[in-house]
Amino acid sequence: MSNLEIGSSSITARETGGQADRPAAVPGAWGRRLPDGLGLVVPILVAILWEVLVRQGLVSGRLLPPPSRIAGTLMELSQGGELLRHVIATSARVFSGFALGVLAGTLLGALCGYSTLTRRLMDPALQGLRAVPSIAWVPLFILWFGIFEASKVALIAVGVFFPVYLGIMGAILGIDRKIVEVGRVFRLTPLGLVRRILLPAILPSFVLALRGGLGLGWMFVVAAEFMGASEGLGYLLVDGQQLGKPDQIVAAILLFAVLGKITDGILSALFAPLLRWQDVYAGGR
Amino acid sequence: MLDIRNLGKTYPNGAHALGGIDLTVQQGEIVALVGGSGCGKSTLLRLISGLDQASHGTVEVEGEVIRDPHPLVGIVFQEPRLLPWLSVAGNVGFGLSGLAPDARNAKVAEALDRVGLGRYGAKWPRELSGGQSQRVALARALVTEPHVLLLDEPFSALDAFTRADLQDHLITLWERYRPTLVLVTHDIEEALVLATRIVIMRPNPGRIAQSFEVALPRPRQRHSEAFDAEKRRILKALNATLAEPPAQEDGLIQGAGI
Repeated sequence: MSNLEIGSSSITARETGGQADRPAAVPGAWGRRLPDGLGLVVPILVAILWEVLVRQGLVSGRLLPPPSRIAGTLMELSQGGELLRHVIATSARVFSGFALGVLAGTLLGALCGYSTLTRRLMDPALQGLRAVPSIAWVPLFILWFGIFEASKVALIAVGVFFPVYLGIMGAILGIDRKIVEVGRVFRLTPLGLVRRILLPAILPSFVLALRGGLGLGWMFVVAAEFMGASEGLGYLLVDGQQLGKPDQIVAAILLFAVLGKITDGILSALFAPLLRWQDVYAGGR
Repeated sequence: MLDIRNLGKTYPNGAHALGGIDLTVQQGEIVALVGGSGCGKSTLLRLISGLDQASHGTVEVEGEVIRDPHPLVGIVFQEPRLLPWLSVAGNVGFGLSGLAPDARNAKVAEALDRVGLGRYGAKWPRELSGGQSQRVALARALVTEPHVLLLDEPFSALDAFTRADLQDHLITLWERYRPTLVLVTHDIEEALVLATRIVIMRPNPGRIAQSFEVALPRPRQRHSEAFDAEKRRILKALNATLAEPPAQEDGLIQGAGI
């Protein structure tokens, strides 16, 4: 007994200091806490460098406009709410397509993971469809759904579907048999087994699959908007190309980067409280 | 009472894991199953637990036939098998169903106290050491008050100090509830410290070779004269069993951890 207590005393001490959940400040590689905005350093430095080079006349900046011009374009676009309209149009497409893709991917992934019969029946066909480059669907979707929203949302949903489907099915197939056995020992019903063992066990993979799916959703919305759209960030890209406005193109690209990063962050933050139990390496934090 | 009659297991691939096993264990006995790898110890334990189905024969606990996992039978595996997404308390209470939250919490707290982890309820499993995890597994198995507790090499992954500590802990718990314990072990000393009876098994197919009552008073001193004498007696019997034709080369001695 005494041997054990020595080893555990540090944990106990931490417990008395409040929630012993996770160390509050995580030291960085040099033992100091790394500042939160560290990821902004490189983009800001590149922006400043580019600005200086253009101002000094060392590069022309005609095809790649300096940050100040891009900022100006953004300001201009945002006046009268035009930019907001484009952002909302694109986001709405991504979210509708994402919702549909996640729904279908989760459902089919769960069915194919849970039941061997369904997997044998459906998985080969789905894997075959997965091999089809998703852009190849565009002409068909336009014929089926017309050139307006439905075909765009369908394309995005297809893009989101596959990573979610694969992630869920793989996660279910990879659940540790030994953990499932614990459920059997305590005589869980099939529904109880799903709710109390299978769902929590696949949650980390599910979140990863959602994030992958969301990333593809942002990717596919551009393809969808290239199909012909009168608003949206993809429209800004096409419009910028046709009218020779590189600043508008770069502005739209930057908005994609920001929007993608923000939505991914929201998704991670939503699930973070449910995943605190994970014993992760986290890249040495 | 645990009553095993003519119990056998042949796997679909034709492997004859277990011949006809007959074994009767009285309530409160501690039986240690000892033997080399592949002699069917773990198979036997899984059949008793209802996790696997026998090819022939029956397992009865208190007159009830065990075919599937049963509330009268608990099991602790070689690994703690804690659910990482539940707190320590959540893990201990995992098998408690049909209780009001208050009653449930009280039971969990009591079970954790009894394994010496009363203050660890709010922790995550990842924050525990190996020995602590296995104690939580023990608490989880005991909180439902099974009549028979099966232990499949429960301490084999732990260091010697922690192992000895947990063995003492198990005996303390046993003295309080007096459940029937059936323990698979590779370690003759562990068997001698814990068991009232040692059952030696042999492979091809798995069967009971011999059975000894352990004639040592409790609490058992690991390094006493009597302990050593008993150990010598068991080892002699083990070697005699080995020498019997048609002995399997798959050594009991080596498996017995000597």
